[in-house]
Amino acid sequence: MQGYSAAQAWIAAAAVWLAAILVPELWGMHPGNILILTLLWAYLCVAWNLMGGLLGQISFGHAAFFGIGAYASSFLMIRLGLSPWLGMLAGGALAAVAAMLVGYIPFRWRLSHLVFALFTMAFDFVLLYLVGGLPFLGDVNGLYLPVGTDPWMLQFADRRFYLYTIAGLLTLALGLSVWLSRSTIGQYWRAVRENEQTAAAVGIDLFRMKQAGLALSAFMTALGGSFFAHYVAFIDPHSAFGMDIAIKLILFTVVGGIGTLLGPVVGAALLVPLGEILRTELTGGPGFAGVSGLVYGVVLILVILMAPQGLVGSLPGRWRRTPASVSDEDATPPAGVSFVPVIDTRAAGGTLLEVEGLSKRFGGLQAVRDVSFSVSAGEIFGIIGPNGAGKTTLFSMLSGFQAPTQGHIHFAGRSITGWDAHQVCRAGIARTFQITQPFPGFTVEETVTLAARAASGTDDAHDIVSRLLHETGLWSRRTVHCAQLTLAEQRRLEIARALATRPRLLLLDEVMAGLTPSEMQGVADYIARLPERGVTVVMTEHVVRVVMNLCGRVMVMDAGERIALGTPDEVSRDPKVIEAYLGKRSAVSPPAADLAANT
Amino acid sequence: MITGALLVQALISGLLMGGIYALVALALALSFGVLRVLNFAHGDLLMMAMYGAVVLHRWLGLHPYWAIVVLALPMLALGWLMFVGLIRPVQHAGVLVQAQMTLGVSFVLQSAALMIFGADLLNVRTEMEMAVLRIEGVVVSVPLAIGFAVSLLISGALSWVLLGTDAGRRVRATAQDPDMARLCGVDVERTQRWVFALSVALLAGVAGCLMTFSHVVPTAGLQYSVLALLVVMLGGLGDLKGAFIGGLLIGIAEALAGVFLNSAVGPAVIYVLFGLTLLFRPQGLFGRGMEA
Repeated sequence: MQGYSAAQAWIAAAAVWLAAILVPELWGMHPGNILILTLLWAYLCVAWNLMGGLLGQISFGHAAFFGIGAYASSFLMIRLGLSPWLGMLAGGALAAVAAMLVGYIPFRWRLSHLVFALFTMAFDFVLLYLVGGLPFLGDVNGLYLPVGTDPWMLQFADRRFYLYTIAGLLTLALGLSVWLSRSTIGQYWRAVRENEQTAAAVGIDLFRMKQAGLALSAFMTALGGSFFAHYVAFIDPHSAFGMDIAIKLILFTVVGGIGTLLGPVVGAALLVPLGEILRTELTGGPGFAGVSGLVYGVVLILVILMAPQGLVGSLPGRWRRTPASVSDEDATPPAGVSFVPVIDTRAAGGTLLEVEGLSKRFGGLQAVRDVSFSVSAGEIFGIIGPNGAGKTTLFSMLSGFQAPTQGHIHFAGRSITGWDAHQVCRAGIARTFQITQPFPGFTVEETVTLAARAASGTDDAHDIVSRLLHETGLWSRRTVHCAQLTLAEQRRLEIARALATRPRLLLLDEVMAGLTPSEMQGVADYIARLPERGVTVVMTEHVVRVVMNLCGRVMVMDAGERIALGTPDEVSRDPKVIEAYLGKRSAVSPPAADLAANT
Repeated sequence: MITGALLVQALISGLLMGGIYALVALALALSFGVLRVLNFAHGDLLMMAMYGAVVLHRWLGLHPYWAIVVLALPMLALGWLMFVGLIRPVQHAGVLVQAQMTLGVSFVLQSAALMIFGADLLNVRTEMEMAVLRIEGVVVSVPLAIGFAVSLLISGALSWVLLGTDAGRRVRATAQDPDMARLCGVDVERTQRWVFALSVALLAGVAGCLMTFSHVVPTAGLQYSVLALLVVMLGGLGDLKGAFIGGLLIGIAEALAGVFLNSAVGPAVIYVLFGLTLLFRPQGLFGRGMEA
C-alpha cells in the first residue's frame, strides 16, 4: 500500500528537534520565537493537509477552527481556571463538532468542492464578527491571558518550553499523517480524492469519510490555535479568526506541495522565517509593512506557474511518496476461489431486482418515465436503446448515484429506493462506468484491492484480487498506474473493480464501447460465465449484436420509456423497436440481422 | 427604538448600496460564467481602482465620476494582462488551483497597496459627500443614489451587449458550451480574454461610485471579494440575473442587520444568510444547477 514514508517523518522530526534544541542555544530566543511561529505554521499546515492533501477537500475557513481553539482554552482558563492542556482538548472537541456542522450541508448534498471551500470561509466570517460582538469573549478588544510561570497553565518562564511544546505537537501530527496515510482509512481517503464517484461505487461512504477528515483536521487545528493564544497571551477576533490565517495555511502548503508529507513543513519552514525577517529586519518605514505579504503572494504565483505540484511535489518521485512495493513473480492464480461468498440459493431463479414505475426528471427534462421490469437471479438482462433513451440515467438510479423522482427499486427482497451509492454497493449491486473512471494515482492492484476491502470491510482480499487480475488479464499490469492503461485494459479493470466488491448483481454500462471485435469477444465470453458463479448481470450496450447474443431477455428504451421487453428474437421483430432505431419509414419488419447490422 | 420609518430608511439605503454590490457581483459572475474561473482577487482589483480614484483626485483634482472614465482603460489593460499572464496558464488546472492563483494575486495587490499607501483610511473629499435628499421623511444620500443609478446604467448596458449584439452572443455561447462555441467558429480564448478584461474594467465604474461617499483601505479588497463571491453563489454560480438580484438582497440584508444588531455582529448576518440559502437552495436562489 502506498502512503507517506515513515523514514521521511523521522528525518523531519529529527530536524525539527535539532532546530528546537540548537537554535535557542546558539542564537537566543529571538530566532527562537521565529522558530516557534515556523513550527506552529508547519503544524497547522500538516493538519490542513490531512484534509486538503489526503482527502482532497480544500477548506478556505480553517481559521474558524484555529480561533475556536484559541478562544475556548483562553475562556476556560480565565473564567474557570481550567488548565489550557485540558482546555485545548475541549477546544479541539468543540472545533470538531463545529466542523461536522459546517461540513454537513456541502458533504450531504454533494456540493462542489468550490462551494465547500466558500462555505467554510463564510463560517469563519460569521465567527469573526460574532465573537467581536460577544462581551464575555472580550468583544472586538479581545482577551488578555494572565501571565505567570505555571507549566500546568501553559505558562513557561523559560520560553524554550513553548518551542518544545510545538515541536512535540508537530511530531505527533507528522506521525499521525504517516500512520493515517498507510491505514485502510487513509487508503479510502486517497480513493475519495482521486475519484469520488468510483470511491462511492466500491462502497466507500463519502459523507462519513469527509466528515471524519474535516473533524480530525479541525481538532488538530484547534490545538494549534490554543497553543498560539497561550503563547502570545492575548487573543482578539482578527488574530484568531482572520481570513489571512486560512489563506496562509493554503499558501504555505501549496508552495511546499499539497498531498505530500513534507510539503507543509517545507513550505512553512521557508516562508515563515522569510516573512518574519522581512517584516522585522527590513522595516525601514511604513513602506515595508506589506513586503512579506507581497513576497508570499509572488512566491505562490511563481510556484503555481512553474511547479504546480509544489516544491516537495516536484522533487523526484522517491520524495513525494514511497513507491508501491513491486513483486514481479508471475504467480499462478489461486485455484478454486469463489469470489462470490454468498450465493443465495433460495433466490436463484427468483426475482433479484424489481423496478416499479421508475421516473427521473431533471428540471423540464423527463429522462426516464415510468419504467418497470424485473430481473431474475442468474439472468443476463440487456437494456438497449438509441442515444438519449435514458439508459445511463436508469443505471445511475439503480446504483444509487441519482435518486428517482418517482418509483421503487427492490433488490433481493429489500427496498433500496433512494439509498446512497455506497449502501447500494454494500447491498450487493456493483456497477461499471461508461466513461471509465479509475483512480489515476492508484495502481491496478491497489484499485482492485481497495474495492475488495471497502465493500466487505475485511482486510483479507488477496485471493480474490489475484484471481480477478488473472481472469481479466491484468496480472502482468498490476503495478501500472490506472491512468496509463489502454482503453481495453481500463474496461477490464472496471469489470474487475466491480466484481471485487463481490456483487450479486453487476450493472455493466457499455463495457464494449471502443473495443475491437476480438476484445469484445473476450469480454463477452467472460460475462457469459458470470451467472454460473452467482452474479446476475444487467447490461446496457450500443453494440446490439452482443446484447442479442448474450442476453436471455432484453428491454428496449426510447425517449426515457420502455417500449419493448422480451427475448432478443421477440424484441427484434417488434415494430416499435424497429421504428425507434431506424425511423418510421423503415417500419416494414426487417429481420433482426438488419437491425444488428445497422447499429 | 426600531420604528417603521427607520426600517424604510434602512430598506432604501440597503437597496441603493445593493445596486453597487450587484455590479461588483455581476462582473464576477460574468467572468466566472465564461471562464469558469472564480477570481478571488476581484475585490482587490476594485480596491486598486479605488486607490486610483484617490490618486487622480489628489494629483489632478478629478472628481471620482471622471475617474471612472479615466480608469476604465487601464483597468481593462490590467485585466487583459492578468488573464494572459496568470489565468490562462492555470485554466485547465482545476477550479481550486485557480482559486489559489487568484488568492496569490489578492495577496500581492493587498500588500502592494499597504506598501504604497499605508494602512490608513483614504477618501476623496467632495462637496456632495454629505448631500442628502429628504423624501417623505426618508433621507437618501445623493452620492449613494447616483451610485445606484450608475450601476444600474452599466448593468443595463452590459445586458444589452450580451443579449442584443453578436459579440454578446459569442460570449453567451462560450459560457454555455465552450467546445460547441469553438465548433461554431467562436474564438473562445479571445472571447474569454476580453470578458475577463471587461469584468475588471467594470470595477472602475464601481470604484468611482464608491469613492464619492466611502473610503478605501488595503484590506477592503478581500471584503469586497468575499462579498461578491457570496452574492455570486447566492444567485447561482454564473447566473447574471441571480448575481444582480443577490447583490440587491445582500445590500438590504446588511442594512437591516445594521438596524437590528449591534455594529460588531451585523456583518455576520450576510454570511449566515449565505449558509441558510445553501441549506435550502444548494444551487443558489435562482440557480439552474450549474456545476462549479
